[in-house]
Amino acid sequence: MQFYLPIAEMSVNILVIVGLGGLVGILSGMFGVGGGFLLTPLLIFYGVPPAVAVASQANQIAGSSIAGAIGHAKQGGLDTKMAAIMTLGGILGAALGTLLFSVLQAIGQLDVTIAISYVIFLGSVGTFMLAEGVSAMRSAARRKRKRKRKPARKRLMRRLPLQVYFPKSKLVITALAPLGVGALVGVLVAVLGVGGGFIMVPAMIYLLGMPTQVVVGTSLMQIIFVTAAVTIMHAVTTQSVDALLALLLLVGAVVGTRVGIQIGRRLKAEQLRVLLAIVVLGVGIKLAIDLVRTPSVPYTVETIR
Amino acid sequence: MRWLMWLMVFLSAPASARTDPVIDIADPLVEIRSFFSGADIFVFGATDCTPPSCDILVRVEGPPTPAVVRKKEKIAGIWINGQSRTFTHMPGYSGIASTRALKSSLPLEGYIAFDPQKPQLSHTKTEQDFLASLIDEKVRSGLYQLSPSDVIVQDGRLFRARLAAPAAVPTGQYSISVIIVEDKVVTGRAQTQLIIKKAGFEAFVSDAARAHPFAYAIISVLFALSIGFISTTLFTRR
Repeated sequence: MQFYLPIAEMSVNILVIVGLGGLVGILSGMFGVGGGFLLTPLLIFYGVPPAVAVASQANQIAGSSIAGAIGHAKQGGLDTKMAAIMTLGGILGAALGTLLFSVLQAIGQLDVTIAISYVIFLGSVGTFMLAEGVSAMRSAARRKRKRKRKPARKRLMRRLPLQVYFPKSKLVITALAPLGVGALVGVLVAVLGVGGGFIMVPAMIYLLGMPTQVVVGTSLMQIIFVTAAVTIMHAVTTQSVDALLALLLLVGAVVGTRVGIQIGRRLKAEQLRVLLAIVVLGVGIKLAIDLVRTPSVPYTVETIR
Repeated sequence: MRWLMWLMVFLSAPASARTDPVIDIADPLVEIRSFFSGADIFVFGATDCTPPSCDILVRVEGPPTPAVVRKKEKIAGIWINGQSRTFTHMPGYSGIASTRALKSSLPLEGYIAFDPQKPQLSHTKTEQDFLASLIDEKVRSGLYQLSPSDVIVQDGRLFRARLAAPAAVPTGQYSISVIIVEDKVVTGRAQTQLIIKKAGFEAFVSDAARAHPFAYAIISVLFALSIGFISTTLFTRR
């Protein structure tokens, strides 16, 4: 069934769009990853203009993150103060990212920048997941390796100015650290249309030293506010937020997430993690090949609206 | 530009005094709504000269749609966009139907003016390449089409043509021209107009995004949040 997207100005198959949202929702329910880093490239493969894909994805992620955020907040897994500072950083980063996006679009290097960034991200995330999944499969018994927090990093966190006490996380660290992490994620949301959880969660655990039980809730809260801000910024500057595309994806994603949670409970996580890693790497490799291979048509045409 | 020459062929005065054809279109207003997946533009009319003595050419041309053409260059093993040219006057849609292949019915310059394979009138070779790739791209996406023998003649006087516009067709005012060609000379012409615009919900969303982007974004976010929120209450109740 064809449906006309008013901002993308193209006709899409509803089942494909809802299905893509659902598929990525299933993965996100199974593994607790956001899935934006898969959905945006898949939309671009389907023919959605990269600018519309990125901006509409920010809108979609705001909606798909709220369920998890409420769940974690109810269980007390939310450091409001930390979330507020990371959101502030995120909004600053988003403003920078949106500006960068407009500049890249104007000089015609947006698509290639998005593609290269995705190759790097999908390549590294996929490799990491694959390595972890394979080693977990090999030795499910002796899985827990102790990670030592680097004392040098901890000292730096204590020495920098703007020391703030975070009661929920029981931490005293410089506010610059969560501000910086938030800002980096904000740039990623605005330029790549991802939630940024896959960067933020490890950074919060290993860099900020936050207790794991508050990490996911806090990052989800930051994601909601920052993706909302990015939606507004993109709507005002690039005018490429397609609300209907976002809603179709979201309908698929919320149902898919529930299905994914059910599947995740029943199946072996290690094998699935390897499978997800292969999917992630596959998308990354496809993007990399497109960048390197001699194009069949050595020109690109962009219609100016 | 070739397009300009093509236009000149259409605008040049009729050589002999034949009666101009009478034309009309099935639907002067094409609306893009939620389930729009392209449209057929039907042009029909009557003329006093039909094949084999005359040829009938029907052209539907959309509003000028500026486009940037960029050449891909390999830098450090990666293909990135290099040199670019901007074309501001090329139509966003162009469809031509004729009773015979254009080559055999039009004067040579009129044919050159249209043939997408031979951009000849641009300034330099580089310009020509950029323009040619723009035209190729439009032909590939169905926005430029040349459909000879798509004008069907009935009873020696009535004719009709069908031109397909894909879903990505630009909105705006379209001009529809019909010319009658006799011995490679234009002997009759007629013109009418067509409007393609978004309507209903599609128009509402598109207008809101353009005119009130801030409010549009706030509402989009609130919608997304409420769908997410409703899903939690729906699923946790079980």
